[in-house]
Amino acid sequence: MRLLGIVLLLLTVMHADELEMFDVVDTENNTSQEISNTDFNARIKLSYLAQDNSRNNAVLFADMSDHKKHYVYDLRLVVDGDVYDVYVKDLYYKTELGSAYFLELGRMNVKEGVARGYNPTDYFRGGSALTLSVDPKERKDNRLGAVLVQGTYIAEDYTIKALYAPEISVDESSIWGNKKHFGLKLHETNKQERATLYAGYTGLDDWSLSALVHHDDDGIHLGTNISYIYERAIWYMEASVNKRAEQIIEALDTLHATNALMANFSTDTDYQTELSLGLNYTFENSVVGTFEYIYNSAGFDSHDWKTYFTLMQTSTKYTPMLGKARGVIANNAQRMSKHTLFAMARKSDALPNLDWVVMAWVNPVDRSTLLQVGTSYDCEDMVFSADIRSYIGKAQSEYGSMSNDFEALLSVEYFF
Amino acid sequence: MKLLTTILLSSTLAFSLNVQEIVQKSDAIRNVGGSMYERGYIVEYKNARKVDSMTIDIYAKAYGNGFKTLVKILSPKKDKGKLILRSGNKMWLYDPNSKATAQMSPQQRLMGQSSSADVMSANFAKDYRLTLVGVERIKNGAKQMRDAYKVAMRAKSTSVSYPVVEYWIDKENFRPILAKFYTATKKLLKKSYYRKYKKVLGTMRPTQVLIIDGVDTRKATKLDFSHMKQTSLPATWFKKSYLPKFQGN
Repeated sequence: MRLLGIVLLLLTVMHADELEMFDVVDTENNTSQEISNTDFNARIKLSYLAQDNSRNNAVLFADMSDHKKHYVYDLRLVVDGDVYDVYVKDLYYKTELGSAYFLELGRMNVKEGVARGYNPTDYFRGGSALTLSVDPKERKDNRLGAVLVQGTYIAEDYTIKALYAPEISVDESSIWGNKKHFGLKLHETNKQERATLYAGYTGLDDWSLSALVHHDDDGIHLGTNISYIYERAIWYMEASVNKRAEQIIEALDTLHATNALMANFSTDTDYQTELSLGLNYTFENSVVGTFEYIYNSAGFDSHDWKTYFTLMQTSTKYTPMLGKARGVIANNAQRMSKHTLFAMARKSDALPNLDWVVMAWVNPVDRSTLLQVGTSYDCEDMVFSADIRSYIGKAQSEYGSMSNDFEALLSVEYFF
Repeated sequence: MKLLTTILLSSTLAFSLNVQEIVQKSDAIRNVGGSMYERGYIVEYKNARKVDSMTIDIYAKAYGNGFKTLVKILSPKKDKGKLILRSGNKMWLYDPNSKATAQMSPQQRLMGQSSSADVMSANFAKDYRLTLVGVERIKNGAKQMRDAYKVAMRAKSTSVSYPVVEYWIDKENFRPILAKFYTATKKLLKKSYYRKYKKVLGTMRPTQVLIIDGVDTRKATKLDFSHMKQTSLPATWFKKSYLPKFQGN
């Protein structure tokens, strides 16, 4: 009987014009549905990371967040094997001082930048990632905020923001530091004093502009973000300049490496530029593509890579320290090389409820590549996803030298 | 005979209303002036089967000759709390999970055949160069045959969501009936039928837009609008910098 109904429906649809066809299925009255309009969100995600040369890993993430009139919180539980940790990603007080002035105080995730692959002006990015993903958006999503105070003035066509994050020294074994299960990790998120002044202008039809002055232990950083929309394309440029050492020297210095090791690299302090130049384009078939060139003058050129690999091979006493230094740079969310290309294509609903995304990080000098192909499927309140990553390149290349050649990340996420 | 009728009707019209006035009257039916709120329910269909749905709150504020529009996604749960702001040619998406704001193209898909631009208030008379093609007899959303002005529209600016549009407006009451949206090279992207007219805020307005894919007519997306009201909305809500602070009503 049910089969007969389906056949009749299909026959009706096949012989109707487009409006009649639609009326056959348009029987649902959606407008009477009651939908809650709160900002409370809760979700649980189980991820399994399979790697060819490292330990496979299953991690459970649980998130709970809300956005109230005067406060915001975002809490995360991470269970990795028999170890669990509770993180406070955000917890801050907010208030309006008149219709255009705003004040926020507490732990906040502050983000800047128009670029899609790498954000030179995202000055609060380092030291707090809580994810297994390499997707830049995922990495932005999964990090701890810093304790700070922020004042904002929003005018008709421009915005002025000023923020200050103090250096906080804590006993690492205390609840403020890295205490097992409940550490607030203030020693990581507020390890230096920082201040930022931001001015943004949106008064031009197709342009958005902003300028930033940021101060931290590296001195003054001058940053800018520019974007321009033309038809289906958004062109963007994001840049930051400051005077500091090469980032390998900074990383080795953090690790208290010997001068003998550091002497293998340039120890000069100079003006360093980070630049992301890109295009985001929406195709007629609704594929959204991004192509971005990233320049980092403090990163490795081919000579630095050669030195690095030679030291790794010939000086076994330096090998652990150099490996750790690379980890410090990755943890600071900096690009390792001077030149990087980033490309991404994303299509939503390629098949009903099925999205796919392909992204690649390419070192154009040694031609090594990190390629990730991912797909996700929505099923009511659940999302199933699979990402496969491949590190392609010679053993002595940026991505070819990673410990794994292949990784697969499988996740299932439930939204409450 | 049809051609003769079209020519006769067109020449009669030229003496009464110009095309700008016709489209302006139609815009006034689609859009509410001042500040307004409404709720949108979007359902995507494929092969006559519902495949997805979304609920949104829409806040719009008249600004100069156009509108600024803020959309808040209420469901599905995975997208809950996301905000889309359109101000002039620019559009931004704020994701409460990443607490990051990214600029997006108005053509970027919202759900099914609907792009973000489809749920934003738009002023066709201002955004397009208009040419009155004539009067045609077409079937409206209620499947009644109606005499309709056919207007050819070309975007004045490169940043308007759809470069070329054909638009049919009911000759008797200026109600929008059908819009066909094309690429600059005249490839049909989608058709929108304006349907289910009801008296809202003193005027008969469409409460449903049915969008049918330009290539695969088995793909359709239905946008139902309800709870429409005129309300005072703070100008600050429509600023990019305010998105992380937005709470709504």
